[in-house]
Amino acid sequence: MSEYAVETADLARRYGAVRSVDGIDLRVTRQGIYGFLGPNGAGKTTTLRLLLGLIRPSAGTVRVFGRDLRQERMAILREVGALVESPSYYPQLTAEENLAILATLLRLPRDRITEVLGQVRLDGVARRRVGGFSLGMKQRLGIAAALLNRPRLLILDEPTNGLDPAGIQEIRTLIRSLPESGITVIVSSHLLTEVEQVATEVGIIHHGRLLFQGDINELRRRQAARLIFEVDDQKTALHALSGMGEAVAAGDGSELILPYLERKQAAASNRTLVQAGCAVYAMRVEQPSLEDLFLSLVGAGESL
Amino acid sequence: MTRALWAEALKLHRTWILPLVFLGPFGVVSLNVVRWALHGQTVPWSQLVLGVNSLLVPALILGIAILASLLAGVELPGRMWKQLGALPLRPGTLYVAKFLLLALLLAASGVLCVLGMLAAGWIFAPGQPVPWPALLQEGFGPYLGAYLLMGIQLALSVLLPTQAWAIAAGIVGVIMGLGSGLLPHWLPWSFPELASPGAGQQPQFFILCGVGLGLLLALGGALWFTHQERP
Repeated sequence: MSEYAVETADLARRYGAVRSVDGIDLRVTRQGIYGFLGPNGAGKTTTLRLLLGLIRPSAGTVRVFGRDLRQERMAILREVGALVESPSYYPQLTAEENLAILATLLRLPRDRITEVLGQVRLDGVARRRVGGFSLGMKQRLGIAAALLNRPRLLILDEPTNGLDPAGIQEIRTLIRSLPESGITVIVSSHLLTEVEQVATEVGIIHHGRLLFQGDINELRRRQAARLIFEVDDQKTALHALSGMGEAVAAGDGSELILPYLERKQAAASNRTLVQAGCAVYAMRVEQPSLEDLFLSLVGAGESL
Repeated sequence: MTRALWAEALKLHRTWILPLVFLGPFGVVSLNVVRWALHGQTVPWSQLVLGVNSLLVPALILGIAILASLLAGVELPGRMWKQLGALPLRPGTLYVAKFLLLALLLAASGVLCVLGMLAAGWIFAPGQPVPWPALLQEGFGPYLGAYLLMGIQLALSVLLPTQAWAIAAGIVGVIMGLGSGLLPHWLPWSFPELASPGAGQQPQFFILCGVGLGLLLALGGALWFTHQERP
């Protein structure tokens, strides 16, 4: 049995000359929450469509729970629930009737509809037409539809789109609770804060390529704290500190950037600078956010 | 398949589909009733059936185009195809279910039409024996002959990205159906007329051709649909 819920090899999808997904090796650990992060148009939704077999890959393979998607698509889809891109619904029908159609197709009992509507807190509006729902309510209905067949793998594409802050919080809590019942979750977002708050592992995609994949703490470790000196003469200061054997870099303007130092070492560096005749205006420790790391990975100036 | 058919039926709720299934035969029969009422005399059954036939054939062709388009269109506003595509179902099953539902709805229209003719006959042809074979063939002959048109209209409605072609084909079809006496017999739009009572020598032939080719086209459409991507 594969240790991964989802495993792709060199997965690619081209639209004409555009490589929307370009050789991705996804590894989604069982019963984890995989945050799939990338700017708009990075290839997230295309990848998720490929995982569901809604579109065919130009190259590469998809394995879900160890099974090849091309050969066992039906068996795989029986264990998968998905909300891809915008939620799908019949506007003229009520929330309950919408799920009844899916329940009929999936041979599920009607009680299940009440259960999932309660899970996404739509039980109060079960008999209202979905056409009049707000985007957030439609989004919840989409999540309810994805949960309907008790999936082992849940794929949620931007699930908090259009939700108000309270709704976002509820959905986060719901997502976090899912692995306890044995569910693996893939949740995509273009917002790092979204992913950071629920995910146990993360994949960062940009221009169709996977830039980082792994434990979210590993991502945090990559961006260690730094010590910043603000001095009057950058050149002299650089020269003075180069003797310390530390990796010293020139920052913006009059700043020097050092790796994080213990208090005594920091004081020693300060002393060295002062003795070399530099005026030290400020010393500060900078803890870069994941946002900074994300920006450094995808390149500044790209929209998030 | 029964599940898929039942799911299709659930989608009809609060659409124009069921009212149209009733309005079609109602319109065809009631327009004739107005005509005979103005006539003010009893009408022989044969004339009654012929009168209904002249309106039924174009109404049937138009009805197929509209219903096929509505059955396909119900998936479009809420972008349901991608949701259905991610279910553990063969997409072809959903396609065939739509075809069967279209056939069932039009059969219901056929039954209503026969009932309407019976009621009209009770008023305008009192005392005359009911010509059951002609009546039933009027209700169901054009309908069975139109299976190929159902296949064509459903394929255009579901398989093409816009509904424009389906509607255009429906309108052209009605015009062709009105002049079907002038059309070559092999054109599918002449089948409903040729399958009507008293129209040709071999209505059974066109009924068989209509049903056979219609079912074949439905299966072909299902295969094609299974193969399509759902972006």
